[in-house]
Amino acid sequence: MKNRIIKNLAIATLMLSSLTSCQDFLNRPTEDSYTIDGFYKTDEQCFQSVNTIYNSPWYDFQRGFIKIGDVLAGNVYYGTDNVYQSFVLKSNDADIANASASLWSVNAYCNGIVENIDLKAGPNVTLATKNTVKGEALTWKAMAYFYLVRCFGAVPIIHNNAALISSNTYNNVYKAPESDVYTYIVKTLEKAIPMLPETNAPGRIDRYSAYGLLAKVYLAKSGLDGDTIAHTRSQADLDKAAEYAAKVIDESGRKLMPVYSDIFRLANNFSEESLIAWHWTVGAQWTSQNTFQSDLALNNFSEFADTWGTWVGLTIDLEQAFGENASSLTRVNTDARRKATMMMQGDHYEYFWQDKGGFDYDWTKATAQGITYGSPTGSNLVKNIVGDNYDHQQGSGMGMARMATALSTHLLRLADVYLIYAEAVLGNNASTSNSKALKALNDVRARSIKNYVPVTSFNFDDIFKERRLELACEGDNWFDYVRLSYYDRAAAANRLAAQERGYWNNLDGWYKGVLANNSTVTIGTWKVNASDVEFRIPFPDTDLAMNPHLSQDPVPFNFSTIGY
Amino acid sequence: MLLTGFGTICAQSLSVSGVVTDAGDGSPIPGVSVLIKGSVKGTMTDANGKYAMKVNQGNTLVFSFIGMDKQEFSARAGVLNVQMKSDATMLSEVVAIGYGTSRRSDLSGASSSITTEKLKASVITNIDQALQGRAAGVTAVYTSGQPGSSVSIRVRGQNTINANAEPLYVIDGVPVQMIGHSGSSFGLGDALGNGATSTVSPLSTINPADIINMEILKDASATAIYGSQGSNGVILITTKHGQKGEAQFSYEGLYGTQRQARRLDVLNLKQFAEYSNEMAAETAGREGRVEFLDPSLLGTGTNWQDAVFQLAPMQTHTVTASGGSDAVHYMVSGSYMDQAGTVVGTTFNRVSFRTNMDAQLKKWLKLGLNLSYAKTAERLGLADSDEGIINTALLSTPDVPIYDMYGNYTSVSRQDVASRINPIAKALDEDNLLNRNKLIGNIFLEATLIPGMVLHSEFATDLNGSQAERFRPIAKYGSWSRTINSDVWQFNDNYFWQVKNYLTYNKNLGLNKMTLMLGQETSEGGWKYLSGASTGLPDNSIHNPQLGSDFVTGSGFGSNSMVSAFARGSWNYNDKYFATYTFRMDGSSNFGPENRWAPFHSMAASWRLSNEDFWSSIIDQVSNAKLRIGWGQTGNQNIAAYSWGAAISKMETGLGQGYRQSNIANPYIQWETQEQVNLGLDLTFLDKRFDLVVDMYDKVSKNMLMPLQLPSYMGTRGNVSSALGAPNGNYGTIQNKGLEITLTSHNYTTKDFSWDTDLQLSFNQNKLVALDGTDNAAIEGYGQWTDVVSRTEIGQPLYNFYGYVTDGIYQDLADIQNSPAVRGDGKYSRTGTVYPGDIKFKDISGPNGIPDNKIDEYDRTNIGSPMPKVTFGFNNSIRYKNFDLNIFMSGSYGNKVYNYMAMNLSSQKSIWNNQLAVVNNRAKLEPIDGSIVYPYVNSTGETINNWFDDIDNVRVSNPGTKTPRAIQQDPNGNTRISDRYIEDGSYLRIKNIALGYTLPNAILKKCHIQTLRVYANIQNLYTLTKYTGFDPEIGVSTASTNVYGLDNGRYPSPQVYSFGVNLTF
Repeated sequence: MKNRIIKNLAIATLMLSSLTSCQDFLNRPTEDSYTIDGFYKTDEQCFQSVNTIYNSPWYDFQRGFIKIGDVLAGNVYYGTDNVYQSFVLKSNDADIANASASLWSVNAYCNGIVENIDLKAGPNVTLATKNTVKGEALTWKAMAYFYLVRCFGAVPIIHNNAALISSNTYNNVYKAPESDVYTYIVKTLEKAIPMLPETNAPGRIDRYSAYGLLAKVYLAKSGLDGDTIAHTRSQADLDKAAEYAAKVIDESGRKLMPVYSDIFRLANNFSEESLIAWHWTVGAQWTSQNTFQSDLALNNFSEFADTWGTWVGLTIDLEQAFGENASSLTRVNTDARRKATMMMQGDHYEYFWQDKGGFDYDWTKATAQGITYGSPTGSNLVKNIVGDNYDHQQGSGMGMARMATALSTHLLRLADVYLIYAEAVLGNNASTSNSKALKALNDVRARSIKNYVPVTSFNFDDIFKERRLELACEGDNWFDYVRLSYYDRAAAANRLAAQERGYWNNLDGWYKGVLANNSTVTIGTWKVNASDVEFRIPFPDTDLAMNPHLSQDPVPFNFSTIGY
Repeated sequence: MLLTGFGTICAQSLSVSGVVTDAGDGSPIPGVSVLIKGSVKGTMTDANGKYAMKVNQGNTLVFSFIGMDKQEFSARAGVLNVQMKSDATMLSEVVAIGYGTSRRSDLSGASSSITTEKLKASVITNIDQALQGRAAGVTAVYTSGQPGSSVSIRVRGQNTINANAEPLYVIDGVPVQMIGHSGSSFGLGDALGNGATSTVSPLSTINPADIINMEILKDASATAIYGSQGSNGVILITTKHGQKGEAQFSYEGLYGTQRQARRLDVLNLKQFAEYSNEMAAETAGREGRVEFLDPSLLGTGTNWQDAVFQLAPMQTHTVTASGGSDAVHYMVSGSYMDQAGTVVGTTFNRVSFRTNMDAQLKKWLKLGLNLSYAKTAERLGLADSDEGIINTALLSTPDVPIYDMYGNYTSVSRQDVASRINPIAKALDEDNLLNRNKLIGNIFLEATLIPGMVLHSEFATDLNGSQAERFRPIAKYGSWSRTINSDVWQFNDNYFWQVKNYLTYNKNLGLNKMTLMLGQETSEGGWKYLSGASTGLPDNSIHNPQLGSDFVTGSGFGSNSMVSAFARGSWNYNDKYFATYTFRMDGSSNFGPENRWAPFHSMAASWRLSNEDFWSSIIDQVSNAKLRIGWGQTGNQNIAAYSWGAAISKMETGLGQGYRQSNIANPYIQWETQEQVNLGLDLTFLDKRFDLVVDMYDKVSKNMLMPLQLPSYMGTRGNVSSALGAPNGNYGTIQNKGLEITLTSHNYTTKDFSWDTDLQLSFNQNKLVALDGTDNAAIEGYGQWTDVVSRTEIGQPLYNFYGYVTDGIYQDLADIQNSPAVRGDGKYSRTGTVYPGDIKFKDISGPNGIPDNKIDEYDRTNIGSPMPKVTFGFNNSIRYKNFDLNIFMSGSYGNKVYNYMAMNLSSQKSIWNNQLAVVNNRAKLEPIDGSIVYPYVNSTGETINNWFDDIDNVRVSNPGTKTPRAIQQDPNGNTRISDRYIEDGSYLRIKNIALGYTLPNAILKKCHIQTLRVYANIQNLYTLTKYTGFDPEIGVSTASTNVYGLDNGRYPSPQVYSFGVNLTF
């Protein structure tokens, strides 16, 4: 009896003391993926780390991209009551919050990549790779800040996210003045440029991508001195813009694509013309994909019931800028960019719906096509649109999916740099006949205009309009107005106020053949008040609530803290 | 041993036998313990209540049974029949505590029981549903009325910001794994909403009919033994076990019908036509619709609410066999449940088995096995969302039929273009399927090493598997079409095992009784998933992703582990003074080497005043009085694994594979710890007629685990698939203070008639005490997407709604000019700016914290708390002869509901949306001076074409209205988040009325039936509330975290009319 008790007690003690080798048992880092300590060990892994900056963190910016870049600019029509079209933006606007979240996450990821490459890269990673990867990340960071400063104006400079968190000061930061943000962008690009190779793998940022961006930054910065009453731009900045743009034009070896509409086709995602682009894919992970087609394409344009852009038109003002009149059934078609930018009644697109012999933008065929027509301005978007599943397979070898295409979004094109050069050379002059500037402008125009006769001089209106025709619907045109507003706010506002942002009456009946003639097809005119135009988008209200400093005046940034 | 042996030999000369019956209904009671007083010698009654044993002259026999008054008789030879009375005070009841049992009378902590009788009074399909209104201190809110859906349980308030604030459930000692239950974690993507919680319940895989008792451990002294898992409260569930005797079979069956009783008052066709015509006239740029020219010719049109709600049958059947020999007891049950949802397209069914066995292998060694398997199949729908079926149905206009003339689904169209998918088609054609398997059980040995010392060694496991499928068919509904289908499957596999050993030692030293417990536990859990998705399957008939193109797979796995040691000591002095000390040490893999281990202590003491001599003068009036006090610590470790480091995750890109840092690491992350003080009083008074339990508590959760709330410039906001993950860490402090009252009253008790009443009242006050960051740090919750609807500020209760305060309607230009400025430069336009008829908002504050006479985002403020001040349950049990009637009411008081659904339903922004009938009383404009002839050139030289465009000449014709004017796009932001949509969420619900009849024994005996009870039950018969939506019981949001009480089309809880049978033979 007693023995049994002792034996049992011994077993019990053994069992109670059988605490396993706890530390091993309890140490469980992520098991099905890498950790930052185990990654960045090869060149390929380092490149893979920066690949992600070419798509996902930008995803949330997509909807705001067109609304800010082209609806505010008066190129894209979302309805006269749309807050972007009518300039009644509020700080609780979801697209603004998303755009802001997206741009800041790009900055955070880029900061992280630079830090991780510095601290974690393995001994087998070459210096060239480290430099290239950091250079790409810094250029993307500059790009994000360039959007931030042009959208929101003064914004905080977040140079090291981890440091702000560990010092618990993330809610104490102040906005930096716009001029400091531009200085920061310039410094970031100057840091990136020597790290970047002259040529890089297709689609990746190279040294000339950064030069091109730097030229554009200097051009914007040239007018910014805090005074928005009409004044001249900084000649030093204009010279820098011209210098860097010239480097791209003369030294990069890149050429304009011969056919304008080819730039926006899936097969040309990595074209020479494209200096900086988002490179999407159709992947299992949400945010890896391009979703523009859903917002912008005609309803039922693809097979996935995932397009709802029927009522998103091009403004009558842009139609007129291209010399088109939607109330007529015939097109003038002098400028190839018109058809590559906007579909109008009677247009035929061989590159959309290739499996069905091409796509006819024809309101009378609505039923046969299963397409819904209804744009109040008589036109719909062409850029950012791929077509149907067959077109996607032809262009990329893979199918699309619901709200997902792989079409790259070009943020900085060679033609843009040509026009930057022309504008920088024109500078504060009323007009110029500088031959190199003329060549840049004429090269861009000659590509698209039938029977083109080169111009022999140009003024600011010419270049401003050319940029609009060349870059409409690429999310960029609004920033031309922002740039102008830096040194002549009234001029920028008046240009916007002069735009016809209205709609056509009775277009539906006319296009569908219900009306015998177009006598009742009239413009329902709608314009904005110059005084309602704001050139800064309100900061998202979540941030204002968390950090009251954001509602206060900007505080100059201490550049000695960043190390370059 | 020798002494006992001697006694055995020379005593026991008398034979005594008899039957023990229930004094209440005369039925025999099996399993009554019959002991010789002062010894462990005795027997138990058999299945027929009979016993027989040998006793000694002069012995006293003690008859005892759980829930019955103990009875003592002097032993004598012959027949001794005993009637046992139910123990009104329940003092002698043995209740489950962590890692053991205790007499209720010995407890010093705060816990409540839910017995099988209470479980049976309601129609419940998930065990968590049983908790509503049944236990003080427990708030139980149905997340949805969908079959099988979850109930959010909060024990003593919301203690954490974590998505998982649910208590720990322990079934027969096995902790139930609350594996991630968001729709996306099952592989259903956003089909069930985007929140961290969904309506799918981890507990719906457990058959509630197997349960005999639920014990809710509330204060820290009770839960501390669960250490790092105890801070949200612990619910101990005991399932039925067999008793010695011949096999006993029982059948419990129920058949019911469910319906949605309430309909919202939306416009019918005639009203909608009138509204559309007026809208076209009142808003700019839109033409009226020709088909609505004469609304008087129109009927009522399509009632989409009637179309999406259906009468839904439900049935459950459980068969149980139980019994046993001296050494082996068994209970085996099988059950089937099938329930359709009251919203079309939703169903739930479950098949489950349970086996509970225990065997006395040797005198000193006992073996136990509890095993349960369940298989569930669900067809789920999305209700609570802008895209949900309830919203879609309500917004669908009455001029659209459900089917076209060929019997195909239509679509809600706008100029021949589908603006909204047909809600019926969406609900019935799009599949969201979830099949789950669960095996949960344990096997244990209990060895009595020396008298009073028991070693319990146990292996427990909980295995879960699921298969989810999302199928989107090729479809054409009117002008809405989808020409490529898609199919996604996901398999999840989760395992959990636990080994625990604990030694319990009971020792009586005179008046001192002591229990010591020492234990150890090791557990590991893990998960795996594999998914496959494709598009373009040949047709809709075969749902196999392999048949489609662009096949995409996904996979992942992970695990976590925990090692613990624990100890408890309890002391009882003469049933007057009680004390308990508990200690637990946990090590968890969720934390880094810096902070992996944490200790948890608790202490409690109580004093039974009624056992003191000085009490004897009032013992007849107050038969039991006990004061309890306790303090303790518990923890919470519910965070994602590896928050202490930074993982790399994959992202495909147009440049090839990409890998990126997923989150910002926090190596110092540690346990969330909670400290709680509890003060309690138990009273039994007035001839045992009343039982009163009062508890007061104050608990503080520190180092709250949560993602750091960062402004967007830190890069951690936006789409979770694209943003950098904010660091998880210990960032806040929450306090909950409260009072709980349970009053049980035996109003009337006779042989033929009895009436008992239970009342539970729970008061809780909740406050965010501190949060990391600046004074302005706050926790935000969002509505459907990025719209801030709740904001938890320091010093305020959690999840306060946050928005603007309305101040009536602008009557005319002067009213606008005399009110705080909105936007603009003094120019007004009907379509682009504020205008008479718009909502006036209050100027609360400005950039400097003081009102600035401007309406902007600084004017948002706390507009109400979704947290109830009081929740209550009130139960009446009445028995008359063989009839029993149970009426149970529950409710909450003082909480606000945000009627998010009403924002779109009264926005008047689009004539393609149906609206609530309140829009008929919207602000309408009229000319002040009807004599002005337009076009008219005003003083500033502007030509005005119509009187309604002339702001100088318009005013609201119905000044008393609260609904703003109709205007496309809403330039004034009338639909912004504001107190316009805040409603009183208080309610009193007649939760259950159950009427039962137990057939008389005389009749049953002839049919060899032991008991037969038939009953009818009505659930949710009536709800008294001011809330204008379907159902004021909203609970946690399935759309976003940190939001509570937001109704965006929550699936309303149905009324259930049911009929059931309980049969034992």
